[in-house]
Amino acid sequence: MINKHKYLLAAVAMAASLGAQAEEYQVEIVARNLEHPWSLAFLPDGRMLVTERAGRLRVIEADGSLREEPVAGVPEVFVQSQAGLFEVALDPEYASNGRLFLSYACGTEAANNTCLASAQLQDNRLVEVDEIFRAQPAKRGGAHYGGRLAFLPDNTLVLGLGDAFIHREEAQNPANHLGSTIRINRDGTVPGNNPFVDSPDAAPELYTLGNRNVQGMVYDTANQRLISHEHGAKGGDEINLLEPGNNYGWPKITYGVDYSGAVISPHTEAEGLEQPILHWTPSIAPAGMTLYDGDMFPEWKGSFLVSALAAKQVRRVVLDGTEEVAQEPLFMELNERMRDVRTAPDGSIYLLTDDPEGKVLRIYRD
Amino acid sequence: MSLISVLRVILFFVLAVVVAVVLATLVQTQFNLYELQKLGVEILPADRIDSNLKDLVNFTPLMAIIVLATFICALPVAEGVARILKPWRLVVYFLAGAVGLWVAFQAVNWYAPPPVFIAANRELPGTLSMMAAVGVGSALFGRLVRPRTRRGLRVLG
Repeated sequence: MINKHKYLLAAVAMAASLGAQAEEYQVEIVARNLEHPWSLAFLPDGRMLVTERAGRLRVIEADGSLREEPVAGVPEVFVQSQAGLFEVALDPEYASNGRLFLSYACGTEAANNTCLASAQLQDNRLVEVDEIFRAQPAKRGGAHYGGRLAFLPDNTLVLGLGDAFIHREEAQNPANHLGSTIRINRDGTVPGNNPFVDSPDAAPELYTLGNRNVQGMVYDTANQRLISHEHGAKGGDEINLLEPGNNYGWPKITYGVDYSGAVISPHTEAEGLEQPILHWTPSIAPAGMTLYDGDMFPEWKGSFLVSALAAKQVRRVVLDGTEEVAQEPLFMELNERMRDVRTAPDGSIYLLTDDPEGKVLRIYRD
Repeated sequence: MSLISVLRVILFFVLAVVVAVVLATLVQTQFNLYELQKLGVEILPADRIDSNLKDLVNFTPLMAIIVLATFICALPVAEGVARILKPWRLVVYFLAGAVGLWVAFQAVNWYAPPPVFIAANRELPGTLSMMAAVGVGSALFGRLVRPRTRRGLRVLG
């Protein structure tokens, strides 16, 4: 029996900012009491995997019940402040190789960074766990890890990273991984056509640099492009078109100021530095993203859905090429910090709420 | 203590806070711009003036809270020590403000999610410079409220 709790039965009518159309949907609680759920993946057999930032990987069975025992064999995770277990993503060839990827903070308070591991799920245990990437250098504190990843058509993967907050200038240093995105093969080796692979002074994994804290990444198959978003400081959250070798400017240029109110840079643009497709000032704190391609909500098809922490909503973004056409806040009536948003195989939308007693919510239409 | 004396101390306290906040704010701006210059970013005089002015508007509220908390704790201690080490009054006040600010920074960094909340404090030169700026404000207060020196013939007995 499906153990799903009806959360809000009444259809929610929203006056869309895009026009007169009204959206109707229902909300179910799929799982609750998850400690800062961070990422969700749909298994082919109907089960789901969900990470908890506290370091646990959980299974939601096909009948909707949350398996009590966490998945065993998860790599050792450094948990503190923003640090913990982040993304879970299935290998593009999961059906044949059964492998998945986990990103997480690794190390100690004094020396840590973002790690990426590959593993196989057998029953309720990870086996053949292999750390395939560890961002360098190790830094102190528990801030800004990035953690989202996406696969390119050649099945290489791009992982978003962070600047550790205290090393923002290092985002401009191609010799390390701070404040960048990296591209690697699924076994952790470096593709021969990476943009900096022939540069002796650059980290060969580097894909882009000048990024602050990348927590949204989607490959847009229809338009053959990689779209990401990253947290700004106080203002300056960005959606970017990620292209190999590009420098996105942080902290040389930014539309935000520091949390203290101090100027980070007097410049918002400069030659050789990429401009975002759009920026959010004040910040919404974007933390996850899906490109909606389902049929359940045809009016949202082709939109980027961005989960937002500070703004407590999902922001629907419509792009025409690299031009912003429209934006619309969704699900604000839930009043939840949204960590992640996913499109389910049936076209419904799953939301992860950022809370010590976080929930997995399903947005659907009968 | 008369009302006039109390108002005088309050006025000097406010003046010392303003001096400390403004100096510390301007100091941290220069360190942040210097970090950009090290990355090759051109900072024109107009950029510097603009950044200074923006920080004087947007950064000073936080700095004022930190300095107020620092002075409320540190200045009474400084006055007590200065009465013992009379010739070192200004030094005592300067150190009280500077060290008090350092303690305040530790408290802010402990409480705030980022490891270091104020960017200029990530390196020792920035931290020491801001401590000195607040020390100047503290020393100014010590100078303004110093006990009056008695002049003239003092008759013993």
